Amino acid sequence: MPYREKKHPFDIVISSAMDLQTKLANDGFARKHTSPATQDLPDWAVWNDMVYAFTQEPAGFVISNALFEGLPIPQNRQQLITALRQNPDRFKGRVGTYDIRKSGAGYLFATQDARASDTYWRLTEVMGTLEPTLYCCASEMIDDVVNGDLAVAYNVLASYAEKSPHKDKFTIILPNDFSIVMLRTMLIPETSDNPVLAAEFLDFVLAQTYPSGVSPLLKTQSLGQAEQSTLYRISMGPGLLVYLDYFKKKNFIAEWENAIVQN
Amino acid sequence: MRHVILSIVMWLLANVAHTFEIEDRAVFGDEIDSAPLRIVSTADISYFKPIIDAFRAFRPDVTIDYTVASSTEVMDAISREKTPF
Repeated sequence: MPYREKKHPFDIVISSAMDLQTKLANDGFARKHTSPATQDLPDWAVWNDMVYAFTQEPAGFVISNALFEGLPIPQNRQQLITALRQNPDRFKGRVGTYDIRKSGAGYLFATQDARASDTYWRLTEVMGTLEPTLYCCASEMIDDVVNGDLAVAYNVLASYAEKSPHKDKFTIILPNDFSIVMLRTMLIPETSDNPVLAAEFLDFVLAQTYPSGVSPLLKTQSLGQAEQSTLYRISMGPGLLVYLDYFKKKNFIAEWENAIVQN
Repeated sequence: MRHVILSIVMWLLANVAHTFEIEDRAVFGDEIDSAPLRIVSTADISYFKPIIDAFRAFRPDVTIDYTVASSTEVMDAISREKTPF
């Protein structure tokens, strides 16, 4: 892995880990920014004039068409649990999800998933019986579904799956019980050497995104097709910091490890 | 006094030892521009490129230096930027 050779401060920080972005802002690492572009944003799109959402990206299942052949495609978590339980030989070693110890976005999805429903833990335990593969990144999960190593990738960003040139090999499901919607956010760090240009860039991106809430440059098809009442948009704000508390995180990860790592 | 010195040494070692691990990087525009807009992001270049291209069509004079890293690396990098090297 290459390393950064010289130290130059960054001017814009973009991350899918909303909790970590909120922590940076809360801890004094972000600049406040207001402008005409920020004035009429929906409440859910901005926190403290520091953290700005510019996408809405749902997470769902990516199902291998080949490896699910002959089985109904699960439309929600309960149906996925049933499919996995009833076909252990088919799915052993062919289930994937984020390693939440390594992925900030994966940890965020897991905690929000667990907050929304108890089904998350049952599903995690069932996946744990099937020798799951754990990943740092959505792109690697999608690649392994495409190459036949995975039958199902859980909690994958639909936006990444939609950009795959091999979409004929899988089906993207936004679960109809609820779909976590991540807001990718942008902030201007306090240490930026170029805050005026950074602000111009931020305003440009916001102008592309709002008032519709979806940038035509990054439009996620799945979001538009999903039943709106099933979309669970993660809320920005200090509530996200709860699961970053040292002991809370330690306990959550320990519980997750007990469920997912059973061998 | 020994404890103070040891603490300082340990802190220095921790900061010198930390390096920022990137996954990918691309420069859009003039590679020798001394004041590019520096973006660090968890989004793959291919995912974010439409926005970069659109901005550069709006501001062709701006060079964008785009670095991809994991969310924890991004957070650590920004947190550490306030500490001197």
